Amino acid sequence: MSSILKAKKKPFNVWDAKVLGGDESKFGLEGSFTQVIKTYSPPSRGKCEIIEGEDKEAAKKLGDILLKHEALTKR
Amino acid sequence: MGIEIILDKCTGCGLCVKACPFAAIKIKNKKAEIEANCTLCGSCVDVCKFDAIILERPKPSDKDLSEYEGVWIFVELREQKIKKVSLELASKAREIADTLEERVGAVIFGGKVKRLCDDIAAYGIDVIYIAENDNLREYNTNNYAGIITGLISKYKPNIVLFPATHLGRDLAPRVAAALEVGLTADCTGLSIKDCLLLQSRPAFGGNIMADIISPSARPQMATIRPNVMKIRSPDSTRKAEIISIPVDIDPKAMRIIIKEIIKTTKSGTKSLDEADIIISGGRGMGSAEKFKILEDLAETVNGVVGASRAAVDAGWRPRSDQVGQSGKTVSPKLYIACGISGKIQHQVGMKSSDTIIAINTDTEAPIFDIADCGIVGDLFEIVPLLNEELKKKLQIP
Repeated sequence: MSSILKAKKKPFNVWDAKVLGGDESKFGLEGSFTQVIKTYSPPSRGKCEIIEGEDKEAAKKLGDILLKHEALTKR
Repeated sequence: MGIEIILDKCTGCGLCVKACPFAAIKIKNKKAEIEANCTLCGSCVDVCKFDAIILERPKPSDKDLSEYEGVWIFVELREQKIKKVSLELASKAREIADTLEERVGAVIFGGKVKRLCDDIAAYGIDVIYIAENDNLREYNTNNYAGIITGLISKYKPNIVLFPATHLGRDLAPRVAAALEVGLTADCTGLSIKDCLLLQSRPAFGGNIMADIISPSARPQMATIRPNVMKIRSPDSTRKAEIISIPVDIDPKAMRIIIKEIIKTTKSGTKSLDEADIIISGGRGMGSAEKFKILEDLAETVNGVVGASRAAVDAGWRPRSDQVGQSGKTVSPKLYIACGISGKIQHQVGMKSSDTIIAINTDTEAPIFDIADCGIVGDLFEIVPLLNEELKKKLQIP
């Protein structure tokens, strides 16, 4: 914790294209060949379905779900 | 434009001759001379100690972007066999190429790879570029990057796709930097929008998605996450045109020589990043011995056992089994988390799994926030019961 507080007081070194001595046209957003055109939230997962019941019953229900799953049917 | 030797600086040392994967440099009268089969790959520029080679690749202006045509994939092999991810790439490339009405090209490097051509062609490939050489049997960054950079310079594809595997993530950035083009890493979605490749990828630990284009440079390059793209059904009657690229690799110029490959996984078992089913255990497992029940379940469903950082740090599982931020990022079809609370560091490594199942005693465990379905209960009771149930239904003795 004390280190975190100390870190706050440290000076910041800013290294830009000039300091690094590179070709300025290759730095930053201007120098990037890719453009982000859109950002969005990932498709959300549905709510978690909790399998109820005693251990044995729950295990059986989960087994039935898994057996229908693509990962097991397409073996 | 092109490649030039500055005769005043060239000492005829021959380093470039050794470095050239295409045998396109000869020493004549103690000076290097570039021959007609040079592909502008740039391997010689990197090794010249006297800055005697100048390489200028023609930059595509807006006008001639249309010269670039075709969708290429890099076919990754393991032990000289085609990896599953390569089929995923082929299938996706076919789909994109159909939209653009272009051809699909595949690039295969290795010892003897011609025999693999029909296998990969079946997944929708039109042209296959092969480079065969014993020194290409194992992946070597400089050789592979040099040859593929040369091929791209020569044949000018519109799009090049690499797998986002260890190999692809090492190779693609070098090629992109050498060619001065864009590269979108770790894509989970690809489509065509206004004739441009629209590359979708998760960012900030999967909390946001970004759509990215490379409008001004060709080829448009991306690495694609394994286990995301669907594999099309193969058409074994499909034949591809095969173009053999003559290469000549001088082992003396190889900075790295692979002597032996030591596997950390048992032979026959899949690695975590290739598995369709992963069964992971965390702190709740309690000991190394108790992972046996997960191994049994994995055997029944033909899956692989993974672990959270807690289980690895406790010494119960090897480091190579770790899923999460400081371990592997996986995206199987089915991920079963047993006794894993599922903190954010674990989630970023497995969130993109198709289906997530959680078994945990703690109702409040964050794993249930991202799971599709879960059981609140004792995994030591449930997992063996589940295994029995599945064995019975799958008729495994």
